[in-house]
Amino acid sequence: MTSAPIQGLPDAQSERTAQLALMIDDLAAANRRLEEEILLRQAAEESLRELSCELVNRIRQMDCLEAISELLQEPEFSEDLFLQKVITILPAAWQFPDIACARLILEDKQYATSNFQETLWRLSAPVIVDGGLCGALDVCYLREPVTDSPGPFLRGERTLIHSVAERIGKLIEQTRAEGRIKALKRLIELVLGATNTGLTIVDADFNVVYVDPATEKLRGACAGKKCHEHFCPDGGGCPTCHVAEALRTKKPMVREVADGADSQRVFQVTSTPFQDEQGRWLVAHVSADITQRKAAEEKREKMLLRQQGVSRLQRSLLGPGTLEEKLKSITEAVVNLFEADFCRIWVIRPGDLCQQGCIHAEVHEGPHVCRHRERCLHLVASSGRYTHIDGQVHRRVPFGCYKIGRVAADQDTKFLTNDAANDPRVHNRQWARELGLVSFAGYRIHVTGGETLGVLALFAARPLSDDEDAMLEGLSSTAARVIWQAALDEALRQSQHDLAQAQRLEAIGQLAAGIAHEINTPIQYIGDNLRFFREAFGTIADLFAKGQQFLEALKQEGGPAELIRNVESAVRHSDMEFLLDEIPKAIEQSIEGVERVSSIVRAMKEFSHPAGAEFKSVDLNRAIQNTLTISRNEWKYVADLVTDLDPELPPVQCLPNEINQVILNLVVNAAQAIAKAVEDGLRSRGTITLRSRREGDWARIDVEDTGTGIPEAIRPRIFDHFFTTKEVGKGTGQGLSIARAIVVKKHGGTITFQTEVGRGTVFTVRLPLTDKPRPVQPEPPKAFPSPEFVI
Amino acid sequence: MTALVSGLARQHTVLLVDDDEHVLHALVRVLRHQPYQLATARSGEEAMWLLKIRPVDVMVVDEHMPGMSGTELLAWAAKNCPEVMRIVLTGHATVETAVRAINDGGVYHFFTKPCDDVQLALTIRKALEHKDLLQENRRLLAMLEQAHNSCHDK
Repeated sequence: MTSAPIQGLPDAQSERTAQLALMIDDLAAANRRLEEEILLRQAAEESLRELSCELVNRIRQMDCLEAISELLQEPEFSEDLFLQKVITILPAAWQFPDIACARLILEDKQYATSNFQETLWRLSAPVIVDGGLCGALDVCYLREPVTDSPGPFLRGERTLIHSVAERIGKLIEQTRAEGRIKALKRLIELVLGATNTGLTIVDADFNVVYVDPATEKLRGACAGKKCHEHFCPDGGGCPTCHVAEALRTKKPMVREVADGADSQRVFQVTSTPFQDEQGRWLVAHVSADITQRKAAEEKREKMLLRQQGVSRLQRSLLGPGTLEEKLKSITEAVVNLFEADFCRIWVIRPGDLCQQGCIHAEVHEGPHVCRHRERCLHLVASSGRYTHIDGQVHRRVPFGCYKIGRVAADQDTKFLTNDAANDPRVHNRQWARELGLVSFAGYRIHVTGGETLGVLALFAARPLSDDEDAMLEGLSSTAARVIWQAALDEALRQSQHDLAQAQRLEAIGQLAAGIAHEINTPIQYIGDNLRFFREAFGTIADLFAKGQQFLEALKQEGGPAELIRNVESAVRHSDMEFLLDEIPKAIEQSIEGVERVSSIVRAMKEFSHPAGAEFKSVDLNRAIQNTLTISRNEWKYVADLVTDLDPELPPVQCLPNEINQVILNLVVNAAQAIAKAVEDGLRSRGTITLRSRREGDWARIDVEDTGTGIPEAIRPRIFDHFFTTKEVGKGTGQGLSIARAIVVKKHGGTITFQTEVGRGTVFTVRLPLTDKPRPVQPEPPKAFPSPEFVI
Repeated sequence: MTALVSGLARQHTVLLVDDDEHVLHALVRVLRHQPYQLATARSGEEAMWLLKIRPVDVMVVDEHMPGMSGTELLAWAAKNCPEVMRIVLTGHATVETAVRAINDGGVYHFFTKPCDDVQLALTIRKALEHKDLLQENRRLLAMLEQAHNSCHDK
């Protein structure tokens, strides 16, 4: 160290002085440094104090923020509670917590500390949500704080309130977004549930990321498991795995999957690959239960096929074919289109096998006694398991008995059971059970408004739906139309036949009239000539007597003996006595014969009067006589004829030809019945009695025979068209049906009969004498005790 | 056929018309004793010719003949010689024939074949009487008129 020398002092001194001066300088400098240091230190201390104060504030603020963060972690998080708590803890973060209060206004809500007051010493911050002002956060001091700071609030506090307000804004944003997501999720799940749709999200490692609640409920919790553990029971890694496939192609793929306990449910699964926000590839499987749709489609398709089948059937039914063929095609269609086990059609017709081994005719007690003989159900078509129609039991079914007969008798309009094996109404349940038949249906075949024509019935190994029921009922109506059409055709054929018959009769009538005219001319001169012979022979006989007298006289007076002998010999040879006796007789008989011929011709002419289409007054007795004359050949070999005709019988207004035909038919029938009786050895010869009477306003004709009688079984049918018991060639089976048509339909009369097997039959025809006859209690002829059959 | 007796008592003539010769012969046989002359014709045309050349009192006509029918002949006769009494004898007895015979032919009687000879003979007699009466009637009327006229002339 060097120092400047002080003046006047020796060197030593001076040196000392200098040294001292130096030392003083040093000390002064040190002092100055010290002072500076103290100042620095004071400043540092001040700064440190300030810093530590700020640090305390900061810590308070940090605590507050941390407390808010903690609040967010609470498990039972709710926005309201959270905000309230935030407000409650907020004052503690302020420099003077004792006088601090806080409030949050958020749209229509307000959260505040209990001591909150708006004062002059207020710190505010806006709450911004989604970029818009949503509310305000206020912190107030209840009185002016004592502080040396420039304002009541610290800088850090300003920052804090903004930070908290911002946090609150963010939080609200977040909770709102979460709420929206939650709502969206709920909506999606709602939609999934409502549409019966399942949603599963699987990641690339086959981990199940999401399962909708319905699926989860169905399959158990599966979040976090591998998808194939749940959805592919065979295990994962299958080469056709649609997860892998969708991830590979990055395109949605759609498949149909049969699923469920017995694979009865069908799902349509759409697998859509997508990336989440982190860029991970996921696959969303949306599965829709299309079982019902599928079933509906199949049903629709089946229905369509059926409709087509039915249309085809109906077209074919319009074509040619016999009734039996057409009904068979209906039963075939029922079996093919409705998967029936078998189907049959019965048609109501008169009983025909009652005497020929029909087993139902033998039943005499119980619910299945065949009470109708005039009609029963004839099996005409059968398809499916059974195709024959001649089975002992089913070829005929009694009207009103069993399911089918009851339907036919309109006791049940239809019969449908889907429990054939147990339904007590089904007669043979055991059999149905053995064959696995589930349903039985029987439908009345009838035309709307018309009578029942028959029954269509089927058994099926599956239940019949309402739709099928309706369609089958429709097919029964089709069958009805077919039968009805056949009946109309038959009626048409019949009427054509009748017309042809009538035309033939008219032609025969005209021919007969023509022949009669032709015969009349020769009869005229044969008769004239015979009468001339008769007269002339009388003259010749007289002359001969005279000659004889002359010969006698000549002999006595002795005339030429030779001549007399010759004459006598010639007379002897000519057998003159015989001739004289017989020639008149021969002539008389010839005259009689000619008269008979002329009467036959007259009867024939009257009988076959060609202009018979109008009503005329007819003497029935004469009609009877004429008929007997021309039909003589029919009866004369087997029967005697008795007529008992009422001479007082007034003329009847009728169609003469037709009434003649009725009498003829009845007489011919009577003759044939007697012929049969003769053939059967019942008697050698019979009697036909024709009676005419007046009964009040009615004229009555009885035709009685002593023939075989009519067996009970066929009595209801004898007036049916083409019904005949006669051998081929003997009768067309039309006589009685024509007779009935003429009497009942054309004349408003009645035709009835009484019969007794082995004794004979009386047919009674009644014709009205006036337009509106009073009905008489018909007095039956007393021939037989049996009741009268009114037809 | 003998010559006609002169005056009022002249013999009547009956004309039989039929295309069937057998009928004509037979009728001639059964009517041969009747008090009138019989003439026959085998067709309508022949009958017309006869009616023109000789007097006839009664004609018995068949309806059905080839050529001119009975009805046509009768209609012609009704017009041209109405004094001849007309009788039909036919085997074709239809209502139309009868109606036409009555309306167009103005016939006196209608017989159907076969008819009884006695009935026919009786009817012919009646027809002749009828005709005679008519003629007598006419004659008397003419006489009366003549007397009446002569009275007036005086």
